Amino acid sequence: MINVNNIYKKFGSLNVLNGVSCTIEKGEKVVIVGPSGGGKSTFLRCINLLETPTYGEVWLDDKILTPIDPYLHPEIIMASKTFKKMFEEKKGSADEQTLTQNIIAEIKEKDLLNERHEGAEYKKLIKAKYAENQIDINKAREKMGMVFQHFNLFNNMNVLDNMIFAPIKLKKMTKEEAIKKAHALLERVGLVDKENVYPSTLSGGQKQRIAIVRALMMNPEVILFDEPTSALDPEMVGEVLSVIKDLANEGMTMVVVTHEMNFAKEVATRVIFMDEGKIKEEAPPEQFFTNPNHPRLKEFLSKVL
Amino acid sequence: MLNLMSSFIDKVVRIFTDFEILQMIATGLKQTLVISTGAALLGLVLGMIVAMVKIAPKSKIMIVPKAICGVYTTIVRGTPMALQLFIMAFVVFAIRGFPQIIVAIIAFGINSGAYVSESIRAGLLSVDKGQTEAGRALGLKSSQTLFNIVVPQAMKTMVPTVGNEFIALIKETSIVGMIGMYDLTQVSKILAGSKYFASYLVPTTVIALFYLAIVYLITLVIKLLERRLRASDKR
Ligand SMILES: Nc1ncnc2c1ncn2[C@@H]1O[C@H](COP(=O)(O)OP(=O)(O)OP(=O)(O)O)[C@@H](O)[C@H]1O
Ligand SMILES: [Mg+2]
Repeated sequence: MINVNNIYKKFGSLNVLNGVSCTIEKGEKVVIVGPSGGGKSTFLRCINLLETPTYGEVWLDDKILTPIDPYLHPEIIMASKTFKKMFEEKKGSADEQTLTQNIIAEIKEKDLLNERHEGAEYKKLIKAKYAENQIDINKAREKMGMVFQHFNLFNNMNVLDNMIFAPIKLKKMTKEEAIKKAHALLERVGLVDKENVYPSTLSGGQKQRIAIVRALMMNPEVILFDEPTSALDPEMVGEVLSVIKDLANEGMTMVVVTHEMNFAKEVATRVIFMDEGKIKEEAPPEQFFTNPNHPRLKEFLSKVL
Repeated sequence: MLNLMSSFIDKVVRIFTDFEILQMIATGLKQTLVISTGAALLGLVLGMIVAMVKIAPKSKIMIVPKAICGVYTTIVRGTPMALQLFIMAFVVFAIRGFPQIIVAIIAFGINSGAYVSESIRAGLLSVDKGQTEAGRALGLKSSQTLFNIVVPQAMKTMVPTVGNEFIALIKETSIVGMIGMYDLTQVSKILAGSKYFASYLVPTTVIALFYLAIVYLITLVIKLLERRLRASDKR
């Protein structure tokens, strides 16, 4: 469903993501853990393009959300002037296939492509590939809900409007349908009586439960959670986690960044350890917690467990 | 002393009873209000455009507009209003028969726009980035997010500061006499020079009261607006 292919993210000179690849299938519950500053939030925000990856591609259901990254497509590299020139120069030094492979590897490694000087064929290929696969980012985001650490409920709208505004505005449903759905969801999280109040009057746990059902209003295919319980008082963590667990049990696909290791053990189908902008380990929870491989993960687990 | 007092009162009464004087005041008042209102509207439009350009993310197509807006606010805020008015009247629109009122509205509107843009920009920036992100993450376009989520919240910060800019603008228009226009302030000057008053005391006092009344009214409207904005989202 989601395919993240070799993404890098730089903020100025700071390399926050250093080549992250990850495929998330329908129904999976992927939990991401790791030390602070390791790039977990940035990774999640690159999936729905709240941050634009510097290199690499993000795909959702066979549609590309980022621009085409030429380095990921050998046929595009081969159409470049740089490749052709290198090929001419080295012709005969090895058989054609090995030579091609070596040059592609060298171009990737040394970042030799220069958009402006690669010629018409190269440009045409990129353009065609993009045209064939691209999707409007707003349409793509409708399919990916996101729940933030700090809730981000719209302060100028009451709870009901927070929920129904986007689906009505984006013509996903009529007002009547939206209100009906909102009521059902509020019922589900036990907050029917809060329909008309403004976010500022809610507790943190209530805000986060509303933020979750607001995301559900769009009938997303996947929900991205960025530390949904980190800003909550301890006594409210449970109520929010139980809503997320229910969703997981119903088969919702989700990617959850969290520091709640018990939640990871209980709910995850796969746990990812992210550190220094890389996925350093990736395994089902049993193996991840009982039999970690990477020394950084061992160190991390010894601190948090 | 008593004599002075009664002469003062006589003169005030004269201002409010003499039809000719009242007509002068009405003409001046109208001029002041037309310039202020026209300039306020122009300033608001300019201010909104400039604020939008300034908060838009940096990108290739925005380089030139951003530079223009930067130069605009720097020049307007770094030079005296009177000089800007002269430039408009005697350089840019030095065309015989060009209506002065339009010149004044443009000069003050351009000036006001620079200050209003800063108020609007500050208001928009005062809204937490998470609000925009939540909107975009739901699939809303950036314009939908801006106008339905960010702007309503920014209003709370913007209304009082933009309101103050308008108040400042009204008082600032009192220099239009320098290009030969006839506004409320000019009325006081003309009256002061007349045989009957022969002093600035009474005319300036009365005209000051007119300005005070206008400013007071606007302040009241701003307060009301602010209160309504607060009531609509209890924070
Ligand atoms: N918009 C930004 N501009 C500059 N630097 C940023 C930006 N966003 C994140 N960073 C930096 O990127 C690094 C990784 O941040 P990120 O938020 O992805 O880490 P994280 O793993 O989510 O950490 P935490 O557990 O603290 O949330 C940090 O050093 C952070 O300061
Ligand atoms: Mg984070």
